[in-house]
Amino acid sequence: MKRRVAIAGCPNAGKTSLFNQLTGAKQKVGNWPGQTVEQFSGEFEVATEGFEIVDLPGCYGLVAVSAEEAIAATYLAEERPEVVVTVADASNLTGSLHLVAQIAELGLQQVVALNMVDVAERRGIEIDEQRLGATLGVEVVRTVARRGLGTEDVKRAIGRAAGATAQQLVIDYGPVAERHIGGLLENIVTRPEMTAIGAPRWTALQLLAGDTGTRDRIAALAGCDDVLVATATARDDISAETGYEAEMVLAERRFEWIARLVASMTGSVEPGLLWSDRMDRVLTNRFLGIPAFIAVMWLVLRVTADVTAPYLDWVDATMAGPVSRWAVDLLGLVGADGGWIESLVVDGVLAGVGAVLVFVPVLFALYLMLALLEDSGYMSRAAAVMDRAMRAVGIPGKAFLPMMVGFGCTVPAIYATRTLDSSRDRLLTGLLTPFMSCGARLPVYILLAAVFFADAKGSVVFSMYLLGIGVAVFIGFLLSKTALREDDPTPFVMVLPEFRLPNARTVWVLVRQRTGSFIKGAGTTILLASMAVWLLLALPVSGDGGFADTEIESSAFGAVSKGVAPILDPLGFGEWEQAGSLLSGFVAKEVVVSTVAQLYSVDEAESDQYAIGFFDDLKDVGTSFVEASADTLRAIPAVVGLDFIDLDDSTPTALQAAVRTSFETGSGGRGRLAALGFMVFVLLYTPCMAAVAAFRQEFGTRWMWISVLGQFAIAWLGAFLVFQGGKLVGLG
Amino acid sequence: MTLAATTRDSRVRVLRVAARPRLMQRLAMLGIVPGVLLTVVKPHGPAIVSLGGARIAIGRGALQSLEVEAVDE
Repeated sequence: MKRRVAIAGCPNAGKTSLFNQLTGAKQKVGNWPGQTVEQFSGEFEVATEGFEIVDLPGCYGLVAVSAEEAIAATYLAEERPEVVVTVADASNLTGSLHLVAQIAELGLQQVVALNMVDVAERRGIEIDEQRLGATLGVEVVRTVARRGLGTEDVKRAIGRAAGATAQQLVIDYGPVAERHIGGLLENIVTRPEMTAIGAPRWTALQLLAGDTGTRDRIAALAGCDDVLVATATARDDISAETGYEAEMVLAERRFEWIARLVASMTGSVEPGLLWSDRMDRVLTNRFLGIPAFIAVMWLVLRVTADVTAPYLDWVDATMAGPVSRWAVDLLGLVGADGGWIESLVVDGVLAGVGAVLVFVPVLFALYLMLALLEDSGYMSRAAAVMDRAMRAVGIPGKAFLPMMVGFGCTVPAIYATRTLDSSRDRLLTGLLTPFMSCGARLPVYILLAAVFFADAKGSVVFSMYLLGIGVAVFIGFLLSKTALREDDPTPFVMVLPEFRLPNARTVWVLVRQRTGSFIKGAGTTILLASMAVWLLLALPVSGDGGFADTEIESSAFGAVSKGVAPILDPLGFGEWEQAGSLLSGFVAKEVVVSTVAQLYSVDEAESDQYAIGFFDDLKDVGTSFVEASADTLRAIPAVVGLDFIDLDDSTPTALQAAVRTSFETGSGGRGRLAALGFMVFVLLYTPCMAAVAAFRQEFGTRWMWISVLGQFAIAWLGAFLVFQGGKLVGLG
Repeated sequence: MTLAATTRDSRVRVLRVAARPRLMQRLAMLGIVPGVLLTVVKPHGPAIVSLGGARIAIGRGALQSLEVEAVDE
């Protein structure tokens, strides 16, 4: 069995860099027990001995305030890894040593990586690591993890630390606190079930500090309730005797101890103003902060949407053209072409794989932009700036980022909620992002606006975006007053990392991990959904067509559409073709327009298909990739331009006529109202299977259903209000 | 007084921290405890303080929780 090591550290101390340096590419992603938060682990060797290393969430201490600290504290206390590598920021020694001291108090064997010593030296901070190590009873190694310096020394130190006995650090918390620690200890040491959850003195300290994680673990043990009662009494006594709350008394003494240690090594150095501070005075300024933030987000959005568009088309065309033809040729070689197998492979599997792959360029670009913002330090500033305005409606400042991302695509927006602190904030934001109108909904607005609102296309389309924002703010406000009320809203307090140039390796690892996680997670679900739709389309339920050879109207898909249609009748679009296109929109919004065309048997302009040979195809794929890259380069200058919605008017007129007739008959002559209701419905109901899959991966099955059903109800209500309300006041 | 009443680049001492449990624990973990000295990078909108090399942003909601006094050096 491999020996277990954990890596801990404050956010931005360089923990991830060191983790990547130690493990190289040998990393795997899992989940923490009972959590949806990702757990990264990896492997490395020290002198032929194998070690497994777990990357703990970044935290400043082990008292559970956010999900991150709770996970780290529980893991360290319960799993007791053989060695903990704690990454300390040498340029912020005081802040970093708090976590080091707490882990030493827990009695775990520790190696301290004194990171960013280069930054510290530039600021004139000299640290005597021998003395630091001797006082803490640990080995201290100097590192510059971003440049890979000191990694081998850390490995060797881990090798030495493994197997050695840890020395438990004891800090004197002053007469009052020590008396109460002693009182609790008597209660704890006599019970084996309590000594099993951590070193007794550490447990007593955590309880006195009001740590909810430790309290919950003890509450789960049978017959230990009296310890919790004794804790409450002791906490009250401490604050009565000292005039300060117990957690403050403990923290004050611990930081005093740290301050003495730091002063004994470095002298008291209070660094002056940095250029980073000057940037902060501008970027978080009361008046400039928000415009600067909007400009940055605009850039992210444009790069994600525009720069990747050519690649998106390329993936789409390659899957539908050459790859499908190759598959058919391959099937031909084994004599399985022509029949339902070909149909399953081309229309089911390949269409599904294609639906996953078209997201990859978008996600890649988005994750790249986000990683750059994170690693440069801007992300924390954005949260600080947006917090006040968003809090007013119960949404935390950090939620703005995923919601902006949602205008591009809902799937990465849901993953982007991971940057939020509490699970409540993550869930609330995840529930709201689908209302941000994603790029795939745009073609539907454009088609209907062109048919029914030719005079005011732009305004109608733009009003859909505004409506989405309005609904999100309203639902967010409602939820934060009801189901997702904050009992103890935590005001904004956050450590800001210094501004710096993003590190290529750190950014690349982040982008790779996140993109890969999408392909594995959401990919499976989309593929299955795509095959399910294919099956529905292939199954004949009436008429005389065979399997995979039936009219759409006689297929199971047609039957389901007809079954759903009456629900949509009060909204003015109860024709089965309209219901069918909305059903297909559940799989992906991109296909709503093409399904409409298919259902009304209107051929969209067929793309020219000359290339027949394999090598011609291959050449085509290559050429079109080069063209896509060229288009991307051309798109970059346009990113700063202002042509937000490019209304493409190339929809075939036959389709427009068919759509007009259908909406007019379905609504009893009120086509405009029905079309507007249809757009509202498309805006508000489930974005696509991929978004549902992403949502389930992040928030679990129960919330997925609440989200899906809630969106359907809101969409139905919205379209109902538009159609029936409009009818009532005599519009249409 | 609160941080909002201070000026850029001034030095202040934390006198008292009075907040609800989560904020209290968050501040304690970051070293914002009674007696500690802070340098004010900017006093509001949000406030940023420097503490031993770290920069800590403090939102409007948390400013009321921190009682500070100016320190002459």
